[in-house]
Amino acid sequence: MTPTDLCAFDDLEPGRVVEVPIGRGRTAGVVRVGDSVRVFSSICPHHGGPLARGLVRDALTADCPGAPAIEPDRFVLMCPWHNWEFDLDTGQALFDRSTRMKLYESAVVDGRVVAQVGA
Amino acid sequence: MRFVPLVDCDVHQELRDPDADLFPYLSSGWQEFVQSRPGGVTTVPSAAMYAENPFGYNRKDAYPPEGGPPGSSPGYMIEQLLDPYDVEAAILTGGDGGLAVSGLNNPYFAAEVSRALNDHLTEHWLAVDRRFKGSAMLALQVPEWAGKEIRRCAELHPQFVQAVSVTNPLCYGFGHPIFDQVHRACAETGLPFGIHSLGEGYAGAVPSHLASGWPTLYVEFHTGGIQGILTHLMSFVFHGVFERYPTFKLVLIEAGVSWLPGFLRRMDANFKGLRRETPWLKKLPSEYVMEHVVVTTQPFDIDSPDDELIAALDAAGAADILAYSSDYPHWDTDVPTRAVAAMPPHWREKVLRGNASRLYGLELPVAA
Repeated sequence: MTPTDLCAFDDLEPGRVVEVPIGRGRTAGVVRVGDSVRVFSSICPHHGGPLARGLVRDALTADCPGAPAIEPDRFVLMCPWHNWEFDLDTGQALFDRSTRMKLYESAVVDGRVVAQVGA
Repeated sequence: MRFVPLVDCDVHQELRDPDADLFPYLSSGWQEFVQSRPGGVTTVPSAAMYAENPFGYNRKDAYPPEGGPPGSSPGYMIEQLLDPYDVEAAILTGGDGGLAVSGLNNPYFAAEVSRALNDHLTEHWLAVDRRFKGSAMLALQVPEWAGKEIRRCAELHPQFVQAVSVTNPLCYGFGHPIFDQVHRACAETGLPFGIHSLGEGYAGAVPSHLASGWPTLYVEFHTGGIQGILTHLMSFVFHGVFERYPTFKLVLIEAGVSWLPGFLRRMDANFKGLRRETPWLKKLPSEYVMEHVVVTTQPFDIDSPDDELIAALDAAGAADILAYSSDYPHWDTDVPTRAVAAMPPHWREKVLRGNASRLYGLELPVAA
């Protein structure tokens, strides 16, 4: 399947989601993570919230109660509706590995972001 | 119908004469203190409620023939509850006076009364029959001192099987880190921490018994008693007590069972959106509850094995964390035969003995 050209990589601001159309009325979220990108369905698996309008944040963990700490090099997407957090590398929800947002296979080719978003 | 033997997780032992019974267990200094009060000796705080039961708090047939209030005679309790119903272990959770010890204003005296109650329990109940299992009555005004009392009781007698509190003298749920010394002592001694419902209504409590308004009818007081239990359970889960102390066990006493499936769902749903506030939690709230919490059954809101609530409780896995309780000798008791008859057969082994046996480390005879 031919990947779909979504946007220019240089137009992406690290940590800021860009919403792009992917056909048939659908949209995807595109976010730059370091020198790579993540492309995900804009539909949250919870209530269908617009994930492409969510926030990218550092993942938080804690070794003991009361001591939140940033997980190095792990980022989450927070749904704008109910704050569900999804790992931007795996798509998995942080509270439950059986729940995940849809991540599309993506790459940067000749300065363009391309992804397998389906027909 | 019999199920031999069973564990009763909420049996109320009472003092026959609260002031006279506890007086010998006070230090000489505290004896002098209480004797010098105008009006004479007053040792045990009265369990004054904000709404009184107009019909009394006890079964009318539970008054010992030798006198004294219901629950004050070990012999009559054995005759009326333990022997006829094959109760192999009766978890004694304290009486009206003892349950209110966290309601005393004077924290030093409260600690002394707590110690006296536990010493009295040891000599007058635990020493009488091996089937009596003790709950260390805690004065939580100073959690560090309560932690020391837990450790003392764990060494005092092998039939102490848990620590219990009721009235909340501070303004946070019992899972708040202000109670950390209590959590630590329970985890390190292996004694579960029991919370008996309805105690917020005792005089001396800081929180309101009911959220958003005081009860003015006893039926409000009693029906709403689960509210405090929910507050405490939330605080244990979300403050991460079960992460900090992986061996810690929590027992929720006399709050019934029907709220359980819905409340687990509510905690899980909120956690999914608010995990970032409590990133120390590594599991869903309901998973912590299933691993660390036991809920006693009385008042058992189920009328028969065909009750529609059974399916909801089964869906939540409740049979793995419920433990039978009678609340003897109180007015709303669930006698064993009635509870057994109302339970679905697949609950009986776990709920009548198995779950409590594991919780308290009891060695029970094999069921006939």
